[in-house]
Amino acid sequence: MSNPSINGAASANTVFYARQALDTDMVSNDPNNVDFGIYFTSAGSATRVFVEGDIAPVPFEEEPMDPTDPFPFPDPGPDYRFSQLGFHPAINDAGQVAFYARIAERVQIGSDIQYINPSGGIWSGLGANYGTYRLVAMHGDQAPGLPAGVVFSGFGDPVINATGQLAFVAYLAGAGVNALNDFAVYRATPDGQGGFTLELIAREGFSAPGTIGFYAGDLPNGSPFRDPFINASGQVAFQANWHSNPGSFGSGGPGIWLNTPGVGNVAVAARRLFGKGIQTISLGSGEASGAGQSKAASSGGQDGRGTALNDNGEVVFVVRLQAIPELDRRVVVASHPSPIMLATDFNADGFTDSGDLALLFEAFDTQNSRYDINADGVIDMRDVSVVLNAMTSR
Amino acid sequence: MRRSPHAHAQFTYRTVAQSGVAGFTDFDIALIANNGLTSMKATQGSEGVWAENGVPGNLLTLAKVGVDSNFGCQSEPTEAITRPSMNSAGLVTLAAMEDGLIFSAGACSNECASSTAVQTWSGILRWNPGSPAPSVAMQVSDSVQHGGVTIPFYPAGSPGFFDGFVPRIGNSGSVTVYDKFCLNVPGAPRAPRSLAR
Repeated sequence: MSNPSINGAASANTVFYARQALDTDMVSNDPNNVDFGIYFTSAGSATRVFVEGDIAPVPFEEEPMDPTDPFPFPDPGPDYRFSQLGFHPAINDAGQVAFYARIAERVQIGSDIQYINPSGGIWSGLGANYGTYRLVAMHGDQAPGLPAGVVFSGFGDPVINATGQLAFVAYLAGAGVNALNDFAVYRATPDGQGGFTLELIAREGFSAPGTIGFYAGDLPNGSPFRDPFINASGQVAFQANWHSNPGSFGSGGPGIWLNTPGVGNVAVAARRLFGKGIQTISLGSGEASGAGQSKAASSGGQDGRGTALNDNGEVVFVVRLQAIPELDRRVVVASHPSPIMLATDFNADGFTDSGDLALLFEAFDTQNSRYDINADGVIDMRDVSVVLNAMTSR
Repeated sequence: MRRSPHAHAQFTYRTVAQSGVAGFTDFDIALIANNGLTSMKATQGSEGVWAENGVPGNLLTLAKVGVDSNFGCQSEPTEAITRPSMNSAGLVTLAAMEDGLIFSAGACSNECASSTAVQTWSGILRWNPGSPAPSVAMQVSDSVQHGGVTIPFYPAGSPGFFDGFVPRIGNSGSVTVYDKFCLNVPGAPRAPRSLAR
């Protein structure tokens, strides 16, 4: 059984995973095995949402029926079953739940039932109503925002905010993916039609704004990203390591970044802070979760865990600025004074300055909405005026 | 041109606590409420949990190793604490474990633990912003209702609420934590029992 998450509903809904004493899933056919399930409570009464062996809701493209077939039978699609549910489900005040799980396809070969094609994904739905659960992302899916052939091959535990948006770390595979670029951070937003729109926030090997380097893991195949936090407006804060040389591992420095929808990533604390270098930094408990890992350190602000990113976009973190452990450790709250300051920092180096102005001039007469600060459909001198005001307003 | 670190920076920074100030030497997890006030686990001679009470920088000690957490019926020093959880309104919860021979007899006795010589007393604290101190939300002498049966918590062997599991607090103030009950203890009494406090 896990630490439950609790929301702010009057009935104090909780969600947690627990194991059953008997093997019912038949995935392993091991009578000594135990099955994990996800449970939802309302007013203290627990309901099982899913247990290993249950059908995993996975959409599929139905093959057209053969018009010449005298006995047409609808294609039932692959019979995916949950094979591992032992991770950390998250919840919001509305009772929406999100979780990562592994699955396998159940097939009958002769008289035998076998499980093939192991996979995994992230699901989200409402409370104990298993009929509402929808697949958010699945192993093998094209990773949005990345070249064709780059696919998901694993996920960390997702967090869910007040509006049902999710944030999570994804493990990548496929075309051009190697140990230097195989992790990413995503935000998933409900599309109003039962699905989700996924947005790439950061990828290992990409430029780390506010530094002279790139997001990079400490070790080969190690993730540079810790579990992210998401607030009610969809802002995502994440802790990551960066390195000046994308072709090598090791930490050039730790940092924290804040992603604001429509603006992008800005460095909250990286490379320098108060004029000093950062030795270590910690957002939340600094622990990461994911396949095979068990610590949930992040939050969507309504799961009872406590958050390092509030709904106003303020971020709290623990930082050590001196090499001597007991010297200059701080708890720091970072606030951004104005969304316009975020919007005008095009190169995301923590400042609005001539570098941003140069980028804006380069974007003149283009359709790049990132530079259309006043959102009038035209990138022109009126946008320049906004940037100049931001440069002199503090 | 070399820029000042603060020139046109998007973020303003507020130092809530700093090593060398007020006796702090280290900080662990830090959390933030929607009003911008924080709570943290830190070391000030010993480990403890602090929260900003009402105004920025006004740190209140919620629990600390070596200090009584007010569990049970007698004063005992706290032996260990978990990291805190904090909700959007700034309410804080944590688990703490007190040292001492608590479960001997009398009003503080605990049937589950009566066969074990050395026990600890542990529980969950909850703090409301503005309060001078946290209150006890749950402790090992309490019971839970399950399936119409009153089940005592299980302090023997494991120190009750302090199994490394962090209590969590929802935005309405309700607290949840994973814990053990006497129901699963071989030979432990399963009869309903009254609270010790």
